[in-house]
Amino acid sequence: MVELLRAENLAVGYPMRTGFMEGLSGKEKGTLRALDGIDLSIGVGEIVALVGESGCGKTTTGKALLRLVDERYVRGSVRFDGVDVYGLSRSGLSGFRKTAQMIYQDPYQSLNPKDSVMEIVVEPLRVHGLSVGRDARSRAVSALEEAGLKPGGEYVDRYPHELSGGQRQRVAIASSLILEPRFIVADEPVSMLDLSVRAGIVRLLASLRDNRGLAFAFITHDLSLAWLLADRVVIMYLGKIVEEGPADEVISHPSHPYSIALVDVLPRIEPRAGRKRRLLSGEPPNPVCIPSGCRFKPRCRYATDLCSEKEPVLEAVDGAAPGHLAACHYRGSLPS
Amino acid sequence: MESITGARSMWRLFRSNALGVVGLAIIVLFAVVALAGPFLAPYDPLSFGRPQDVLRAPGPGHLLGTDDLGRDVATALVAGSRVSLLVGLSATLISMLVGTLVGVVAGYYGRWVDTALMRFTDVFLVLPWLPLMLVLAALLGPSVWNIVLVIGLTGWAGTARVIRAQTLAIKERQFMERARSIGAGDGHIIMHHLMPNVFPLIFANTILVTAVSILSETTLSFLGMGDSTRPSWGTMLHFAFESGAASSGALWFILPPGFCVLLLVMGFTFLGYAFDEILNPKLRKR
Repeated sequence: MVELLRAENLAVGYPMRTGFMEGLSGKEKGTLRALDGIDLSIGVGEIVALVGESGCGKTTTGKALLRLVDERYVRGSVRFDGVDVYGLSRSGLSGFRKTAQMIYQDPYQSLNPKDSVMEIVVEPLRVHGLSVGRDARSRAVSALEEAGLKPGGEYVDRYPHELSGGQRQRVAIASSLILEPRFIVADEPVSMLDLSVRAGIVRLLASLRDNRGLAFAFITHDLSLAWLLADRVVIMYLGKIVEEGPADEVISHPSHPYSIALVDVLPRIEPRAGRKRRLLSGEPPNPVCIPSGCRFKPRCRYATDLCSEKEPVLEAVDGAAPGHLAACHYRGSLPS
Repeated sequence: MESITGARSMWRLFRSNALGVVGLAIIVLFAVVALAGPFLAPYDPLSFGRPQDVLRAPGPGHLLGTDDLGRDVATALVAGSRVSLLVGLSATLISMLVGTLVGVVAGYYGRWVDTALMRFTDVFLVLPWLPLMLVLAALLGPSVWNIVLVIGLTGWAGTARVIRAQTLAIKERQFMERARSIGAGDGHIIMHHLMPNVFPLIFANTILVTAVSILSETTLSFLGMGDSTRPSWGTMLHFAFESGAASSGALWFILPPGFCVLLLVMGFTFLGYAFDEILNPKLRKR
């Protein structure tokens, strides 16, 4: 597979604002490590799912890949087509914005309520000074139809508040597609939608990958959705990748205790008799003071002294499919 | 959260707001009088009357009597409405332009731009505005446009604060980030996404600022900083006071301009409150 995007040691840390008096006394400021150094690679036409609970850094990852977080707080590098995204000039960045798009979680928030559907859909063309003029309408209609709103002509003159959540999300997708991008970060694109319209959006994303060779970073907290759609699954915990690998492989043989817990709570068809679900207890620690050693240790049922002393790195799981990595000292030997 | 309402539904809400309708009626009444002024008043507001016309009580020929120079009070009142409205609206325009610019730039760009602009705004907020206006008006000389400038340049600070707050709120909305993600520049984002969503607030604020501007003009003119070649209601009050109209019982000379100021300012304030209520759903009555 041809590599499209590569992030190396990507980290985002926000300095904590201290009070006025604390600032005077010169007290040490903490840093909120939203993303704590990850390596990520996404190939052409590949859907990579970023999975984890709230606050694990998956949305931050998506935004950092697109250079949408405050650059002062970003460390590490992102290469798109071999070009350093954070080193781009003004015009280079404009070109990058054309080829890499974002779809947001909440279609009620991500569309300007003052704009008509047509204005929303062709706005990217306008912004990039591409010819719109007379064919704006027909381009908007065809983009809408490609995003599954048929007939597009019935939607172009409406406003976001006249549409349902699923329809709005399709408008947002149509707008993202109009520049014919190669990479899309989809940030929980279906989590705000009714179950009945989810499948349609998910099918749409899959067909964009299959027919157009689009690559996706698909951010979700829903492991079954990731398994359904993604080629590869990346599981994140507290700003780090704890496990990654081919989707089927990670779901069928989870090797990190966090992944094991996530897979355990997935609904199964076979009766649950005799099988006890290993539920997680507690909350993830505060990302301002990340525990030493393994960051999952406080919630891990298998933790030993080794886990407090040494932080595990992401390494291949013995005997597993190639590309299946986990960051656990006991990867491959835990009952999954 | 839906503070952004369509024009039609806004009109519907407005009609059911008694305060707003009364305010609008008062403003329309004064606007009509000001525009039709020269046709309504039979006398020249500036030329002095005959000696026997000085301080006549209201009666036929002079509905509201005459002033200490024999001029018709009703005519002066109509002419004054033009000046008061003109100064009030022009000064408001300046205030709104400066206030919106400072507020939007500070809120949108944030960081040190915000800090610098807001400290500057604070200076204008805490300055005692009356002495400042008096000094400026005295320095610039008594002309209508100088008064406009003085009121406009001292009255923008509150607007800047309000607009900045709204800008900060809109800035966090996701469609702003989405605009950035498709590659839009600051100019496009401000003009296309920020301004349309800040505009309702600018509109409501403008109306309230107009009330304050008219009151400021009256204050300055009453204190003798007005342009005596274009007398406003404040100038009338000034001369009425100087000539001792109150103590000599010539109430027809001193009461009408006072009532006019009160009524017009009330009109703008009512309308402003009405829009505040419409645009801020939390204030809406159920």
